[in-house]
Amino acid sequence: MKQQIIYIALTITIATTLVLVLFFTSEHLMKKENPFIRRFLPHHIDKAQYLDLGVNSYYIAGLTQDTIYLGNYTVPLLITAVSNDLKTKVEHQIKLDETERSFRSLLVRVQNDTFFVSDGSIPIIYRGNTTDWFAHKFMTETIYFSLLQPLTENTFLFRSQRASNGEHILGKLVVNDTVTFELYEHVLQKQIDGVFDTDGQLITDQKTQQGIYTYTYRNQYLVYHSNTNTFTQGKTIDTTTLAKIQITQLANGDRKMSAPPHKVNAKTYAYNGKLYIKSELLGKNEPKSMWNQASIIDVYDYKKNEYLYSFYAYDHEKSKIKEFVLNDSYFYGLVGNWLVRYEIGK
Amino acid sequence: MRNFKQISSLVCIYFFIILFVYAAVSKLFDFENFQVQIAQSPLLSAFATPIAYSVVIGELLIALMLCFTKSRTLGLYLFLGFMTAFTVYIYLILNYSPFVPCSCGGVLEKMGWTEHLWFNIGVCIMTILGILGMGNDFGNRE
Repeated sequence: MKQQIIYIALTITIATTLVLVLFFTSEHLMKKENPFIRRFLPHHIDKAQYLDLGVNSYYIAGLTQDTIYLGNYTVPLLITAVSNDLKTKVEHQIKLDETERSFRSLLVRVQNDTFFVSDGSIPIIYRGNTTDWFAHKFMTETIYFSLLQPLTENTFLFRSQRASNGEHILGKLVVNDTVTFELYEHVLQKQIDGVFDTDGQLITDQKTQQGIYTYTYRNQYLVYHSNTNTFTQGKTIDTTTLAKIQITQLANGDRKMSAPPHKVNAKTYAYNGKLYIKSELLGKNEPKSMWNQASIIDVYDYKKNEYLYSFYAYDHEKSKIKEFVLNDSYFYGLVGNWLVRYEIGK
Repeated sequence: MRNFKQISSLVCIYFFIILFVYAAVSKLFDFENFQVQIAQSPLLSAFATPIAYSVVIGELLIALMLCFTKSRTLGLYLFLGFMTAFTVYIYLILNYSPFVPCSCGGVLEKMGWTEHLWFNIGVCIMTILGILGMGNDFGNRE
């Protein structure tokens, strides 16, 4: 009898310890060195509502608590403001304080009640207020950029190309009475040619005023810390550490990708310390059937460099989600000709 | 009285056998799905594949051991170990998981996680009583 009680106690202790050890090890592995196993939150975004925009040339220019602003690639100075219940849609025509200039790729970014119109190939930045949608020349120095994101009212992160060899480089731009800029020489790490392999997405988290550059062809992202003016590196959960792309130099000196690239990270968004990445790769133990119905969005805590969870953003009318933004209550996405809004589960 | 005890402990053992065989078979029938579900489970995601195999194989082996008198005692201890592990797992899910996953096997799917916890604790207690009771029987016979 006594012996049996000891055996029973022993059995229970061993089993409990085993599960606890497995649990803590698993948690550590999942968060810190994830072996590409996703953890899907069921119904994380739910109750989809769709608004037909008619065309698919829209992009998301910004999101505030009550309004989502859409820009349009084919009508660059038109802003469409949609209320957060998707019920009202107002179009605004942006006016610039000059009419003579011609542009190549105008892009609008709305941040709270300020908006920026920029074209990095001119280069120029205008700034205005969303009450009247009138924009004044703000930055006209010859600092060319291919990507630009506002950090605050007058500071920006940008990506440019080195004049000497065309390699990508990140920088910061501060516009006061004078314009100053700083280049971060060794932040983007060259693996193949420093152009295609360092391509990625630049975003800023408006809540924390930090910036994130996510590489498109490898499993890494860089976090910019405003207070220390430094970058730290984070890792996404897939296994592509080296960019899988091939580049050919043509006779005229142009370089082109010679094989379809192995894309890892597509669109990204950051909000309140979390980084959202639309992934292009299927993880372990995942149903393949979902690939034809939805896109996968992975969520990271970019301050701790931890993987948190993933969720599906569903296709609509056979179109995949192109880009997305979110705040505390809603997730918005552009899917084909549609603007979709989901409620975010708690 | 002794007869009643023997019968009730036999009933218990048959119930355990059926429980494990049922649990294992219902997982086997939909093994791919089961594996996906473990991976989605918030706690053991990183070890989904080895756990999926060892749980099913373990359940079948233990059920088999319970069938024969010779291996029954060891089988009961292992059964208790498995049930304790499941119970701790459910407890962890209910208390430390960011979300509660959807699924178990077969009929148990209908059970909520809290009911499941009580069910498991009940089975554990039954097992302990079974082991103790069986021990007494053997003791008397000697």
